[in-house]
Amino acid sequence: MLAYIWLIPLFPLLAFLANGFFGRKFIKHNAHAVSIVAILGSALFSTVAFIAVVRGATLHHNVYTWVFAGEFQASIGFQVDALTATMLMIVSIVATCVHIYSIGYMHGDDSYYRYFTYLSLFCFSMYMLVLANNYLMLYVFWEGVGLCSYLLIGFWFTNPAPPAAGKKAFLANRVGDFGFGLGVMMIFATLGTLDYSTVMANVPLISTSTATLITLLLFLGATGKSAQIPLYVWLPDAGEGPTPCSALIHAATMVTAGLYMIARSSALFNAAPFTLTLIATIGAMTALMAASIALVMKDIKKVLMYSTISQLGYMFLGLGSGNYTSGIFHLMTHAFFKALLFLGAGSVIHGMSGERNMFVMGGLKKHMPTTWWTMFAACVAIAGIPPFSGFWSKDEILASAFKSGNYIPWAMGCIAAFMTAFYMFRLLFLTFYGESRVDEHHMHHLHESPATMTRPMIFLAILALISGGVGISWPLENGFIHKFLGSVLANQHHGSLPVTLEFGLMGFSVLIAVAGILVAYLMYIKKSVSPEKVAGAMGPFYKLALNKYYVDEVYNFIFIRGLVLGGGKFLWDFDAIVLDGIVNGIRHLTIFIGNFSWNFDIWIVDGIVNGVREVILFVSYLSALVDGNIVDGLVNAVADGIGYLGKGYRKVQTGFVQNYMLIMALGFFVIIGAYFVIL
Amino acid sequence: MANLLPSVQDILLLTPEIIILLSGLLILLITPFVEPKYQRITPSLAIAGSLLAFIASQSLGAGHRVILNGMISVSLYSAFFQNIFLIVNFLVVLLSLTYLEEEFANMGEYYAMLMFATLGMMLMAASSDLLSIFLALELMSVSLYILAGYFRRHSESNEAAIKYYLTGVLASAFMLYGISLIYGITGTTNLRAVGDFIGVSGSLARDPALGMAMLMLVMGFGFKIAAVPFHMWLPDVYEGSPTCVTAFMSVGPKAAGFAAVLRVFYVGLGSLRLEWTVIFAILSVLTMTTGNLLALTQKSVKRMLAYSSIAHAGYAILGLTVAGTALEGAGMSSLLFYMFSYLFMNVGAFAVLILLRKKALTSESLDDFNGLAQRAPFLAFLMAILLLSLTGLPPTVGFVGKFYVFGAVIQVALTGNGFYGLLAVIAVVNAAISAFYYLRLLMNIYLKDGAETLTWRYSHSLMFVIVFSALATLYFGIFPGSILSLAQQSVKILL
Repeated sequence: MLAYIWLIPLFPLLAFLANGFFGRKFIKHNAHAVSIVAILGSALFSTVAFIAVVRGATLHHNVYTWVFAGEFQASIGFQVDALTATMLMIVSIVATCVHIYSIGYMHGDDSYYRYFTYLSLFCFSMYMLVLANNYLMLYVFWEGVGLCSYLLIGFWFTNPAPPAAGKKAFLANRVGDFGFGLGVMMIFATLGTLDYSTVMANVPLISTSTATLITLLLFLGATGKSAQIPLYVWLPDAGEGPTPCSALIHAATMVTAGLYMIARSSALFNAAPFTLTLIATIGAMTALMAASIALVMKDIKKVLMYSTISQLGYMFLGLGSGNYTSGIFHLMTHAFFKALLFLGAGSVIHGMSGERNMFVMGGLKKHMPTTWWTMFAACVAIAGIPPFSGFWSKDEILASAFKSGNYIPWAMGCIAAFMTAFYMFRLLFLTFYGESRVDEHHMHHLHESPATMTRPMIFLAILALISGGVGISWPLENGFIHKFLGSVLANQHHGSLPVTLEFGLMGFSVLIAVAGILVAYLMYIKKSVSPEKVAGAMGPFYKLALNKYYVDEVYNFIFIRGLVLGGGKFLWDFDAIVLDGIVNGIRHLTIFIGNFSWNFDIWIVDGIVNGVREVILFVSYLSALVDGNIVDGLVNAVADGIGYLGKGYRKVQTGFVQNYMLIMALGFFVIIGAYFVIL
Repeated sequence: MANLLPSVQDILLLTPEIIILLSGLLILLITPFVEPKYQRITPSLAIAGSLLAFIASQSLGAGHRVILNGMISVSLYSAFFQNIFLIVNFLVVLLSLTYLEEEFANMGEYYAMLMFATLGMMLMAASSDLLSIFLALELMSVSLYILAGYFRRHSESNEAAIKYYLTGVLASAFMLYGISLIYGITGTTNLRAVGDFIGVSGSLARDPALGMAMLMLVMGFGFKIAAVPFHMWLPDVYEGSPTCVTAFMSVGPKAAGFAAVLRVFYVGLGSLRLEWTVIFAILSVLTMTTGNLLALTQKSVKRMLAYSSIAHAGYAILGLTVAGTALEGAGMSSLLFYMFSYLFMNVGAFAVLILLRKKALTSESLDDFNGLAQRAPFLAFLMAILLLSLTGLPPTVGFVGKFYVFGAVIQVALTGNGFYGLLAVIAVVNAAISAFYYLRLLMNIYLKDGAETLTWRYSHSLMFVIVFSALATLYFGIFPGSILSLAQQSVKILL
């Protein structure tokens, strides 16, 4: 039934190869066509797969046994069930929109083909990540999407900021991935398998303490990839990459990999109540902290980045409350409205010729009407105004936190909800309403974005408004998505609240959202409340939020200055030169074989060779140390110390064949003597 | 006695061998009549022959059939090795092409001898009788003696040939003596029958004459796989032979030797496995340690590769020692995989030596490679892949090969056999020592500055071999699964 599933990742892989190998010389500014055809193919088959899964089909199939090592066997295999199908749809929809949007946004960029090459590679990795049927493959493609993320963050590597942001993402993720890797190893050490279904079936065999340790390690991985306390610091800087890729990677898909992994392992996490409580607490703390920083940011993309961290925190709160469906539900609605917000912000930045500071915008509504109304739709969705999508998923998360007894995280979530409504409408008001603060120069260029950019936004806006519908039902939590995902996620059921309390909580959510919008309205439209005075009144809190709680400074002091300064350069060179070089280098290797000639492009080979040289320089440096101290010593020891052996051997190799034959015969007689003596 | 005339079906099973034989004969036949300007006809025939034989070998199927009165057994096992030989043959013909032309030695006889040596190796891997093994081995050896002395105007080449011949004859004499002793004791030379005979009469295993026969076979085969102390010929022969012949000798005959050793000792002398595992264990320690320590002291790259090939044989013998334990399947398949993995990296490394060389047989020293990365970045990069693979670092096939051999030894050690634990430690220490001299060459290439002292002898065929080897090294390093399962399937017929 689902036998064609391998086609889904194959299309972007082919697009990646085509653009990678032939992009620079042949495809050039048609690179988008290749990638878009591929993503449309994947989206088509994802939809077919989704429909098949809705009708009850599932798939669990090993394609190829990759590693044999005694007991350990790692397979490349696919698993398709409700969770996979949901993720496939989210990835396909957002990726398709972003691909089309990128035509306009990246138009005229020198590295147009390179951008689409990376984008296709990312889609391939992301599809493989959600299609995997075991933890090893998950880990491999977890790193794969990470690689694409670094490549895209550092895409404009000629400026200093993007590579620095890429480096930061790389370092923060190393910490998380270290934990994730250990967790995967512990699963194997405990259960002897990495296959999802076998692991989940054997969860009852694991003791609570082991399950807690494993899940804590996995969660550490999730905090890195999904940007939670304490490893969220890389995500705000990730906005240095092209904005469409922020929409795809850093809002909708890659950063949700951590949530996907936890939902995928829901049975395992249920066996570790402590970890679940910790996840709920960390999620709520992250939601609140990131939201408070978003209140005061001036850079439009920074607001959205902190907003993403905050919303991811909500999703973790949902997972930690044992209601995995609510986390994935919010993941879906968030993917649509946050991708839309990023695309909208990109449209604004595009229109403003690269300007990101909201305080020099204002009054853009009449210049960019489509951007305005689509972003407005996204803002009502994220703020939690019924009946739009964000309201249903966020409210369900808060309700499950309340039901599972996580009252303090629930309260933190409510405060963050107020902040969310406030900062989103602050963004909207500062950008699109009021007096124009745009200077002459920018005003001259100000324009609505082309149709390739606005149409995907309109499509996402519709989804942002209505996609909550899949979760609406009476009685509550009995909608399509609950039935669909409930079959594969091991949700904990905490009973239901009295109907009045349910509606009370719902009403309360709406109330705080409206209050947030109202405050933003008073501050930035009516100007009856002065933001400066509020900031002054809040004093130290304002300063803390403005400086992002000094987390970067603390980390910098403890880790970067302390530990990484030396290694950082190496890591960065590795990232920038080797990874980039390998992608370019492989391409040229093939062109070379294709032409079967010597006159291949020295330019790229230089790239790869320089990259390899960096690595080899390092290895060689070590080797030189070893060579100078150990090898020379060893050689000397062989020659002098064990002179008999060393010099003896050299002497034995006389060059006279009669000596050789003598030694062969002697060796034979020694063996025969020893054999019969011992026998 | 069975029907002496083979059936057509039996003969068809030998299609790859027959193709190689016919192409060798055809080359020999037309060589005198080929005009100099068409001299590339002979290597083209050799390439066509090996490709055809390769295709034929794939189509034989997975069955196990014993033919020609038990002399030959055609199976996945023989096919696995034959594929190695045919790939080596193909690559070496490409290597030789311009090399021989530039040294004014491009004559058809060279390719004919290459084909006959390959034929000998193929038959060796397929033989299931001591006599057919010996005959195949001699066919291979005689062809190799001629190939070693192929630069007949160079005294080094003559020296290599005569040394190889004299020591080889001594080893053959010992081996034949061993075979005759076994025939005297058991009354048969068929390996299955020998194995059954010794197995049935339990007391025979401790017969001194049988022990003597076994040790003589150890020496005879030890010479072919260059196990210390029967390795003395190797450095001189490898250094003196034309480099393309060295590339051929370092892979093909060794793999053929291991193919025969595994059959002779595991099938024929299986009852003596306690004895021969100990002997091979000691030989493997001696072999890898000697090979590595002496490689460390070499200044000539060719000689260094010669000694390092001794060390690699030592690792492979480790797989042999595991084949004599309860984990026999793992031991044998790891040995097969190691042979496969060694093919690409070694042929590739010698190809680099042919591409970048001084004239004829002058040795290239380590210092000649100084600063290669600046002069020829792409070639340096390919060489780096090959050297990393020889060192045994991921993601190359050299890593996977070492991983499975060492892994098999460690698995035996984990069953409580402390002796194998010691073997594993020695093997790992040796692998570390080998890293020093491989990475030192890499350091010369990338870190040091140096003037051009080597001549570029670029040709498409040479570059193809290098790129092909490097790509195969990477590909099978990342996707070893198919070859590994093939190796596991192949050894099943011996179990």
